[in-house]
Amino acid sequence: MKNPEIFWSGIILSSLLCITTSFAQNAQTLSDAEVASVAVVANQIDIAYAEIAKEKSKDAEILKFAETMINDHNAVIKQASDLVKKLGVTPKDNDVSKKLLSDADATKKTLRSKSGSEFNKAYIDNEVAYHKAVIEAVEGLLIPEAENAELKALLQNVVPALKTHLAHAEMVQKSLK
Amino acid sequence: MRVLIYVSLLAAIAMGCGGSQNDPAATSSDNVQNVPQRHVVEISEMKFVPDVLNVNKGDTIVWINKDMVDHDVTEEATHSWTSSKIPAGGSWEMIATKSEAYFCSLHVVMKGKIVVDGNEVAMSDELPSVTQCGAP
Ligand SMILES: [Cu+2]
Repeated sequence: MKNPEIFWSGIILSSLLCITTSFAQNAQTLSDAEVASVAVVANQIDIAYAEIAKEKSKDAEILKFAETMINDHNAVIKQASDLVKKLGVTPKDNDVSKKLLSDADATKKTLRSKSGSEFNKAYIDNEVAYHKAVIEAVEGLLIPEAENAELKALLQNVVPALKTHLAHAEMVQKSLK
Repeated sequence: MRVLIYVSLLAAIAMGCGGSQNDPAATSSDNVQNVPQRHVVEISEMKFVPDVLNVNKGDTIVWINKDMVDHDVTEEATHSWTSSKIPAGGSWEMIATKSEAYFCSLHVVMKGKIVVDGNEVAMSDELPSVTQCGAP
């Protein structure tokens, strides 16, 4: 593979989209415990990316964006944890959450291998791609799969924040060029 | 009808030159109309609702954060004031003194506008509107 950077960012986006479509097509079902797990994992992954950014970047816009990602995704995880506790559900690993985690490991490795402006670009490009993919997964998979009305409502509530993060990431992306 | 006349009179005074506290009209029987109002801007689904708020000078504006994430309210042009973090479920208020654009510095794409006494936000190359009123 000549260009691992392009390879990975392409793979990450397409694998999440593939998961979304293949689940929809095969009419496989996720239990609410599995939906909750995917939701929590997806938020944890973006926090992990932001923590790498805080370690590696000196760019004020990147650092502010990363701080917002940590705060917001933690807030979503707290809401989700409070809800599953209330519902008596234990988040359960599944193919989707496992795939998300293994993709994220590869991305984290790529990010850690870069520094300076090359890192900033890789980080924000990944944030744009990742938020697009997560919005797609939440709207196309998690919301339709969620049975419990409160879980569905929570997921619906998260979408505007994800879309705002995407717009914010795209703005930072533009300012870096 | 009488009320209407007083209101438009007060509005005219307020727009011409501030300091309504010492206006003789304020002591009239309709002085309830002169009481500064409270306006609420809800922060909901990552938006300021309403995003454009029309107020009178001296009115109080309350921002209520109904989202699950923190937000803030920060003057946009020079960051001359900020609410600092408004936690989920929290609120913050201030008294409107002039028309200003604001945004959330945590989510920079969230924007809103305060329009005081019908004056649109002054552009940076225009003379500041305060000069004609000489307010302290
Ligand atoms: Cu905000």
